[in-house]
Amino acid sequence: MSTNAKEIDNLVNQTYEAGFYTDIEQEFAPPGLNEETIRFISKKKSEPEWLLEWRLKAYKQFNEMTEPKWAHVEYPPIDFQEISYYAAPKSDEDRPKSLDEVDPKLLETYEKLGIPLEEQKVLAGVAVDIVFDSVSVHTTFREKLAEVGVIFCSFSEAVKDHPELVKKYLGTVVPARDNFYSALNSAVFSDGSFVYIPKNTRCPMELSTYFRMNAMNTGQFERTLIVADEGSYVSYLEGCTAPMRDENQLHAAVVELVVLKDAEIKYSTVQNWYPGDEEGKGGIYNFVTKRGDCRGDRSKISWTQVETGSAITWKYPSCILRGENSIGEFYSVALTNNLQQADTGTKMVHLGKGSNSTIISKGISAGRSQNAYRGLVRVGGSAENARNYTQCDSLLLGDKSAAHTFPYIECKNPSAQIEHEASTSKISDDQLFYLRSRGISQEDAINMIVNGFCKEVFKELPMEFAVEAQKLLGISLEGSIG
Amino acid sequence: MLEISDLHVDVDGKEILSGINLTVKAGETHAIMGPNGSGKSTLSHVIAGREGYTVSRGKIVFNGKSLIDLEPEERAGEGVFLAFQYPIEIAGVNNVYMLKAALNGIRNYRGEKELTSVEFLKLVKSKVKAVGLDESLLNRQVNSGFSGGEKKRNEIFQLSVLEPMLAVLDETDSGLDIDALKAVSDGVNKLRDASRSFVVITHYQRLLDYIVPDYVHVLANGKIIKTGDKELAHALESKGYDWLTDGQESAA
Amino acid sequence: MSNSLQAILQRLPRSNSDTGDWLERLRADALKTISSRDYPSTKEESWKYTSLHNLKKNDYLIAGEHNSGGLVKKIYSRDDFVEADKIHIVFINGFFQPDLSSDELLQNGINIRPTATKKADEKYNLEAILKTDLAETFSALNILTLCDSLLIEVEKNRKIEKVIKLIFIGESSESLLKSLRIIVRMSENSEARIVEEYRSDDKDSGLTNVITNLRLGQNSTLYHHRLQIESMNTTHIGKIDAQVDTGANLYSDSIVMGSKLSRVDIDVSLSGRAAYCRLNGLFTGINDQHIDHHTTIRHLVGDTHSDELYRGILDHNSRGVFNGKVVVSADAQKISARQASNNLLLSKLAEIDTKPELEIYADDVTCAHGATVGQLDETALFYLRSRGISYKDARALLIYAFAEKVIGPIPLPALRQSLENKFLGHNQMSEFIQQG
Repeated sequence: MSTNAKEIDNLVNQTYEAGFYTDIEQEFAPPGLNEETIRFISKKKSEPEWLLEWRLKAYKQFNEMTEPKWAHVEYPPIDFQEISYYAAPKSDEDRPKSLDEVDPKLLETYEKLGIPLEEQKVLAGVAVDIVFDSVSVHTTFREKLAEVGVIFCSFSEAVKDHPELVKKYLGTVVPARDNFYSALNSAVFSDGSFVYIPKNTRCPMELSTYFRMNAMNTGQFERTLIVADEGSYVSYLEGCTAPMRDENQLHAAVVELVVLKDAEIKYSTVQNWYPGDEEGKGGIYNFVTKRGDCRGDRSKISWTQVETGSAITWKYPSCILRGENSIGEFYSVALTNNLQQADTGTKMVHLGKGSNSTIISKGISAGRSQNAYRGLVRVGGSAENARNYTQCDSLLLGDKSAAHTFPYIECKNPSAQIEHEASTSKISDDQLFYLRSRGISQEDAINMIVNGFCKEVFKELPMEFAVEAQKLLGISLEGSIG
Repeated sequence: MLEISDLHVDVDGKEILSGINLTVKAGETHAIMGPNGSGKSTLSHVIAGREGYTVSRGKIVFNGKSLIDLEPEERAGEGVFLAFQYPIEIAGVNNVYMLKAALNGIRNYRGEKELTSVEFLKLVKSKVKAVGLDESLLNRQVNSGFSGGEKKRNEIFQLSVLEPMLAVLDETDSGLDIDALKAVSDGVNKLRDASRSFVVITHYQRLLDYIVPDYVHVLANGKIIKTGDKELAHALESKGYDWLTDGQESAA
Repeated sequence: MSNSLQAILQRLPRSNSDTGDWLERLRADALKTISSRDYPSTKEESWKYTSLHNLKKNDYLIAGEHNSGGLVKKIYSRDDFVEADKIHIVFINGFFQPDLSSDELLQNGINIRPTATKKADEKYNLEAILKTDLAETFSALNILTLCDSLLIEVEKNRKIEKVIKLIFIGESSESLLKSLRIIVRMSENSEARIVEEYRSDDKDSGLTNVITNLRLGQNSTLYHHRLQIESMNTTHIGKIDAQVDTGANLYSDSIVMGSKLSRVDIDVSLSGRAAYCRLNGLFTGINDQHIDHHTTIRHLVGDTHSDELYRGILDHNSRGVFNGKVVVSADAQKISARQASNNLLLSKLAEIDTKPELEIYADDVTCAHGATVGQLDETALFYLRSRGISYKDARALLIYAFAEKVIGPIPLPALRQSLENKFLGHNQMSEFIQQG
């Protein structure tokens, strides 16, 4: 067996390519968490009084809460007073009106990351919002989207330009007090993306946000709110990277999705925050609350995530299936290597009649990493004929890694059908030998098998993200996808 | 083409093959028969380079080159093909995609240009007809959900695309009904020519009615104890293996 | 601490020896646990779905010689228990009843000691077993309030042909706390079949708190069938702790139909190569019954294997809980573990909470689990009825078919038959089946 181990190491031990740091003039809030910090952030962003009040209330709730300890992860205590809660490129003082005005260093950064920021990427048909540390620096294609009434802007702009929408939906899916990190986020969130799709509108292009954590000793606390009004559709992509640093950095985002009658949101994430080095030094603590509310009948949310980064991932994109015949989907690939720890999964809460959920989770553990799936399927008494299908597979590469599965199933309705299947296995020697005896190199054979293992999830990703995901896993997807 | 001399093979410290000598010339078909546990499958796996087998003595030389230190994919590159007794299922991997990766892997090994997708598909289309494989199986996952007969046909289909110089068929007849057996044999016979050799491993003589061998070897207790022509297979069919193995013991 | 627990502590018999022997030391440790911990609360992960609220409200007397423990047995005679090919051992209200039990407790390679833990007798070497998990409330309570206990030792190379049937009867109008301990030691290469049956009369409202320790020596085989059919007012807390050595096989079934609240924890360690366990379970809830199973299978070394199948059938406003955990230790390679939890909900008010967990720290493993929740197959129901079977019978038949996956493999025809009767015959379960 050990002969394979080296190949597997080579495969999964690719260096972190997004680990550079951009030397750019920035403005920081002094480290520390108190009411003053919150007032500082709110003032910086010229926020209305109601939002400041909202933040301060969240901060009070945060102070009454304790850090959750139930996840299968271990880390030293976080000193919330040592973190800087605001970092912004200086040029934000004078927001760029067009791409020409954006700091060329920033553009260079995104070019290095391969993000289609420039207008020439029209052909790619993706509108991009860029969040650099705490603030959104640029949103492309805004005018084109506005033609059909789609609002796609930074959260701060939404507060200024569309306060009625923000006020109506903010915190209605993930209340500040929902959990420790959502309370923290609600108090100190700096920026993020805001999307509103009007009634009966199919968003003409994929929307995309790239999050970049650049500054040292900062936390990133972005907040995303997407509202799909009746009969609308949007596909939204999210990507994340950060420089390599020895210190751990905290990322505590909140994502809220509101889906009304007959509407659909497809939300895809490729998460590649810096995972720390081989000895587990540095890396991002990714403690994220993502939840969608299917409020109307036949509404649908589809979460797809490829999680390869972060030292620790604590993340459960969830669906509240409130509407009749509403649909929730969760497709996930989580790869952990070295000393990474992931505790991720989903919650499907069935309240509406005929609501239907599908969970496909693929965990790949390599090195000395810990990879846990944690999921909840809850069927309330009102959810007649609810359906859930869960498949949750783990692949172990190397004998020092660990894979765990914690599925909670709570059912209160006799007409519900719930099926959960899970398996854990390693790459089989038989499969490897079979492929190699056909002339395929060991590395390619491993790629092929891992790729096949993840296929059901990759096929849910928009094409461009699928390619990026494949690159991240070090796997050739050619011919196997689409 | 293939020269095996004094081959001794251990598995977990236990000797399974104890001095095999076998020479296969270009264009020849050799059948290897023997009772269960005689080492037939071990021989096929050792030729293809499976891990877990230790060659303690002897040589396997293929076209003048020793195979023993080569990786399985290098042996494939040299022109060796093993049709598995139990073809492996690989979830999520497309059958044709895998075959393309294999063919181009072999071509790379030989310093030949890779085939483009178009060229490859053309090749596949022509071969699939020749073997009589159901085309819908091409785009399924490797062997997943295939019937026993489909799996074996898929092996022969791969054989026809990869065009090896030496093909080792490991109990290709096991689990096949008579129609499937005929179809598979037919596929193999079409591939027989003056430059390609076959080693057909089987427990029963039945397969040899369809793939008629030039030589028949009887393997027992890790040694070839008798060699003859196809009539030997018929003798084994009527008398069983005991008359040979008993004789061996009393001789020893 | 809850009043109920406090009351129990106040009623603890004063220690009859201050000799400082090991049993006394264990009791002192147990007392420490109880004083620092209350009954488990729903804030603890393993009690998330099971509230002990009612238990805390109840006021229990510790079963002892002085209360009804020894009084009611007169209504029974030995003939009530005799079955062909069985050794039977009867306990009433926590105490061994020699007059009602088989005579043959000490023959044919087995040694049955009904009162082995009465004294800190070194010759039984029980200290290591009794001190397991004293940090947990019910285990601590068990040793503090222990009634009689039973030690069964099967000699080396012995196959015990007769089934050993243990019958624990609750018979009291007082709320009695009965703490029991069963220790089974299977010597090398031995084989035995044990049935553990808990029952009570209708008026019983006691609390049974029982721990079963199973120690399977090399290459031994134990069939262990636990049947809990206590009355609907009782509370039952059970625990099985098993260690399975090299080449040994444990087949353990837990069948729960009784008690208002039932909780059974099963923890199996596969500690030697080629060790195997099969844990099967079947639970049926009616009215407001609450039935909870927590199982853990630990693959401590390589080449160990397990199968697990739990099936729950829940009617009325009953609630079932199943938590099945499989742990594969680091470097325990060549493991296979299969687990399934299937559940049938028959009523709008019934609930099932199931959590099949895997914790895996080795790579050469094949582990699979599955969980389903569903209802009776309407098409099958219709099919049977179209063949002339009444709705009631068709329903009973389909429920039995669901349970059969657990009942079928039980190698004791009499037990299998009695379970079948509970589903298809005319008694309590048939009424259950007729509902809805």
